[in-house]
Amino acid sequence: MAGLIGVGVSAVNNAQIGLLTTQHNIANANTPGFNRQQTVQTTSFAQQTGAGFIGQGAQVETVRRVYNEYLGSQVLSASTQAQFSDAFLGQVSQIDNLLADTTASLSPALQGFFTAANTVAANTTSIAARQTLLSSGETLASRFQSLANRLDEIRTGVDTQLGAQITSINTYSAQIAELNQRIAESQGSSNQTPNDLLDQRDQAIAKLNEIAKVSIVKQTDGTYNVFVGTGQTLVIGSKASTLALRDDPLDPGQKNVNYVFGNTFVPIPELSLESGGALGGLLAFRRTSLDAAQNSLGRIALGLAQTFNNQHRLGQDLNGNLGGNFFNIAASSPLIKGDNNNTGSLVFTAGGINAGKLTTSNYLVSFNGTTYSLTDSVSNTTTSGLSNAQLLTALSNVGITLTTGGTPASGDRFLILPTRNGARDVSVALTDPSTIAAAAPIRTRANTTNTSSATISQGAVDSATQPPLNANLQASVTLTFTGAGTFDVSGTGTGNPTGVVYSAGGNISYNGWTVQINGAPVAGDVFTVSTNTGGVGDNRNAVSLATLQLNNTLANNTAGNPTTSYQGAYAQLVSTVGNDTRRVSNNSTAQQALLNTNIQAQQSLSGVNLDEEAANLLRFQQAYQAAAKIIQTSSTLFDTILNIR
Amino acid sequence: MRISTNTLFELGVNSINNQLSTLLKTQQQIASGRRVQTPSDDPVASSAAVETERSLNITTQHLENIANARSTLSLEESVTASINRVYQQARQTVISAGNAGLSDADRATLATTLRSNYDELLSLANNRDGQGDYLFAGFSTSAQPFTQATGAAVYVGDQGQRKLQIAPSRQINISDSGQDLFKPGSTVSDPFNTLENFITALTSGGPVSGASLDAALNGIDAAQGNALRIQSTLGSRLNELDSTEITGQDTNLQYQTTLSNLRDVDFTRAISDLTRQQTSLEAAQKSFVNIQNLSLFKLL
Repeated sequence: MAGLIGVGVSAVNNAQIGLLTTQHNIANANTPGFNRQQTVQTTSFAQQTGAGFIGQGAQVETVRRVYNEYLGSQVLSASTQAQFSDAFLGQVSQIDNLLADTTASLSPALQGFFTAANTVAANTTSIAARQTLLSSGETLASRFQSLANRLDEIRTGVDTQLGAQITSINTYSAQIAELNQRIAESQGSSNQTPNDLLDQRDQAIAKLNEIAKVSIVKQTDGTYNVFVGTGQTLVIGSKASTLALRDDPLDPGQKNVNYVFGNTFVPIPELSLESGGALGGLLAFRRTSLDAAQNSLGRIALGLAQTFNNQHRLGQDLNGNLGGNFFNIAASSPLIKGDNNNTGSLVFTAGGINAGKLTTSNYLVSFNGTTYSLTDSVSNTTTSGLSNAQLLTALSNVGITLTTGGTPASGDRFLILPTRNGARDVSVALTDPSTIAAAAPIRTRANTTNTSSATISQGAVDSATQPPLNANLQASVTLTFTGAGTFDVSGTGTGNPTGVVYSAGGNISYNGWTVQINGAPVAGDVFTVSTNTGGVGDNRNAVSLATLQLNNTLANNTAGNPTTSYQGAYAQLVSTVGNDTRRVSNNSTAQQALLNTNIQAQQSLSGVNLDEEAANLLRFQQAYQAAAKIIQTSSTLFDTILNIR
Repeated sequence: MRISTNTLFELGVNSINNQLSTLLKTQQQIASGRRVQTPSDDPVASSAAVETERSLNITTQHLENIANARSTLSLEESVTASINRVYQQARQTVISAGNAGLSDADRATLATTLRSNYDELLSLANNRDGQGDYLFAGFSTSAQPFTQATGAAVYVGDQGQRKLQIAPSRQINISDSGQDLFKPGSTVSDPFNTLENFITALTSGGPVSGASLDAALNGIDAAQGNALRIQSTLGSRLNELDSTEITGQDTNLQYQTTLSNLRDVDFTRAISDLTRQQTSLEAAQKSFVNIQNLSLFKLL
C-alpha cells in the first residue's frame, strides 16, 4: 500500500517536473540563445521478490537541454562571416552611393572645368571667360575636397564603430568569464549541468563571435577559454582580458585595436582580425576599399593639378608674364609619417611628385639595422635589402621624390601615403583672371622681304614634365638662310651655329622651343622666333590646356607612357567600388542564406515548437491526473482495508 | 522535420522583407528612369557610362567649338568680302584715271574717291570682333594692327594664327593675320602702298604716267588675288566645319544611345517585373498570416 502511494507521489512529481519544464520552454520560446529542455525520465529500481521484480515507478534523472555542439559551431562560423560581410557592405555602400550621385560626383565638375578651358580658348581676351575658368577650377577643387571629406568621415566613422565594438567585446569577455565561474561552481557542487547558464554563455559567445571571430578551448571543469586574432586570449577561466582602441602609431588618420597588458598596449595584427566578425569587416573595408577609393581619387586630383600646372607654366598670361601654377598642392601630399616608437633620427623630406608615375598604393618603409625594406600595400609585396639610395630610387619610380637626413635605428618604420590626401590638398592658386596663361610665350615671323614663299610654323614650347623652362626661351633668335639647304642661327643661348642643314618640315629646336620651316627658302630669307609681346589674342596654350582632357595623363606603364585619362581613372574608381560592393553584397546574401540554413538546422533540434509544448502540456497534465488517480486508488484500497471489521 | 515556432516566424518575415526590397528596387528604377542606381548595380555599365559620358561631353564641346569657329570665320569672311569690294572700286577708279581727257580737277576728284577707298580699306583692316579684339592683328589682338604713319599704313601686328579644336585630332585656323591678308611691306602687293603711291601720282599735276597706272593696277590685282585666296580658304574652312559638325552630331547621337542603353531602364520590363513582384509579396504576406493563425493553443 505504502509502495503504491510512493509510486503515485513520484509519478505526480515527475509530471509536475514535466509541466514545469514545458512551462519553462513556453516562457523562453523567444529568449535569444535558449535551447529547449527535456526531462529525462527513467524507471526506478524494481523490487526483487519471490514473485519476480516488481516495478517501483519512474524517476526524473535530469533535465537536459537539447543541444548539438556541431550544429552550434556551424551557426557560429556562418554568423561571424555574415557579420563580416554585413559590416563591410554597410561601409562600402556609402562609397557606392557617393559615386552614384550624378550631381555630386566628379564627372560634371571635371567636364565643367574643361568646358571653361575651351571657352577661354575661343575667347582669349574675355575676362568673363577667364573668370569662369577660375570659378570652374574652384568648383572642381571643392568637389574633390567634398568627396575627400566624405571619405575621411567614413574613415572616422570606422574608428567610432571600432570603439563601440571593442567596448562590446570587453563586456562579453567579462560576461563569459563570470559565467565560466558560475558554471564551474554549479557543476562542481551538483554534478548536474546548469542548462540556463550554459545557454547564456553560448549566447554571449555567439554575440562576441559576431564582432570578432573567436576560437574556444573547452576545459575539464566546464569552463571555456576564448581567443581572437592570432591567439590573443580574451577569457581564461574566470579571468577576462581587455582590448583598447588606440591611435595608429603610423597612420595618422586612423586607430587600431590593441591588446592591453597592464599599462602597455600591443597592437593586434589587423590581418589576423580580418578572418571574420563585424570588426574584421570594418578593418578589411578600411584596408582595401577605403584606401583604394581615397588613393584613386587623390591620384586623379594630384595628376590633374600637376599636369594642368605643367602645361599652364608653358604659357603666357594676359600681362605678358609666363604662366605660374594654376593649382596649389598642399604639402601633405605625399604624407610621410614615422612610427611614434622610432628611435633613430632619420627624416624624409618631400621633393615633389610625378603625377604619371603615382600609384594608388601606400608604402611602408622599415629598417632592420642594415638595410631597408619597402612594402606595397596593394600588392602586399615587400622588397628587402635596399640601401638608402635604392630605397629612394624605388620610391621615385612610383612618383615620390624624397631626400633623407639623419640615421635610422633598427626597427624604425615609416609610412608613406602618396595620394591619401591628394583630393583634399588641391586648390586653385590663381585669383586674377588675367594671369591665366592662354597664350604661348613665343611667336614666329617670316620677314616680309623674304623672296621665297617658305613659311615658318607657329612654334611650340617643348613640353617638359617638370618646369622650369629654358632661361632663354623668349630670347630673340634669327634663322638666316645662306643657301637653299643651309641656314645660320643667331641669338642668346643658341651657340650661334652656322651652316645648319635645312630639311623641309623638320624640327628646329633651340632655347626650349621647336619650330618647322616649310617650302623652299632661298639665300637671304630670314625667319625669327621671339617673345610674344602683346600676344593677348593668342590661344595656343589654352587649346593645349583644353586638350589635356583628351589625353592619357595618368598611370604610366613600364615604358613610361600614361595609360589613362582623368575621367578614365575615375571610371576605374567607379568600377572598382561597384565591383567591391557587388561582391560583398553577393557574399552577404550567400552567407546570410547559409546562416539561416544553419540556424534552421540548429533550431530544428533546439528551438521551441509551441504546438509541441502544447501537446506536452496535455501529456503531462494527463500524466499528473493519472498519477493522482494512483494515489486516489491507493487511498480507496486503504479505506477498503480499514472498513473490514 | 521538426520546426521551431521562431523559425516559422522568421522564415515568413525574411521572405516578406526580401520581396519588399526587390519591389522597392524596381520601384526606384521606374521612378528615376535609371536601371543602374549605384555603381554596384552594374559595375561594368557604370564605369562604361563614365567613359561614354566623357566622350559625349568632349564631342559636345567640339560642336560648341565648331559654332565658335563658324561665327569667327563668318565675320572674317564678310569683312574679306568687303575688302574685295573696295579693291574692285579702287580698280575702276584707277582705270578711269587713265583717261587722257581728264582735267586736274577731275583727277583731284578721283584722288578723293581713292582716298576714301583707302580709308575704308584701313578701317576694314582694323576691324574688331564682338569682344573688341582686332580681327587681323595675329596674336596682338588688343593693339590696332594698321597704323597710319607718314606715307602708307604700317602693320604692327604679328603673324600669329589662332586655332580651335574641332575634332579629337583636328585643330582649325580661326584667324588670319593682317600680314597674310594684306602683305604689308611687300613691294608689289601692299594695297596701302599701292593706293598711296597712285593718289600721290594723281595729285602731283598733269596726267598720270602709264608706268604708275600699270603699277597701281598690278598692285591692286595682286592684293585682290591675295584677298581672294584668303576668302577661298575661309570658304573651305567653313565647309570643313559643316562636315565636321555633321560627323560630330552623328557621334553625339551614338554616344547618347550608348549611354541610354548602359543605364536607362527598360520600362516595359520594369513594370511587368513590378507587377510580378507585387503579386509575390501579397502571396507571401497572406500565407504568413494564415500560417501564424495555426496554433494548437487556440484549440485548447
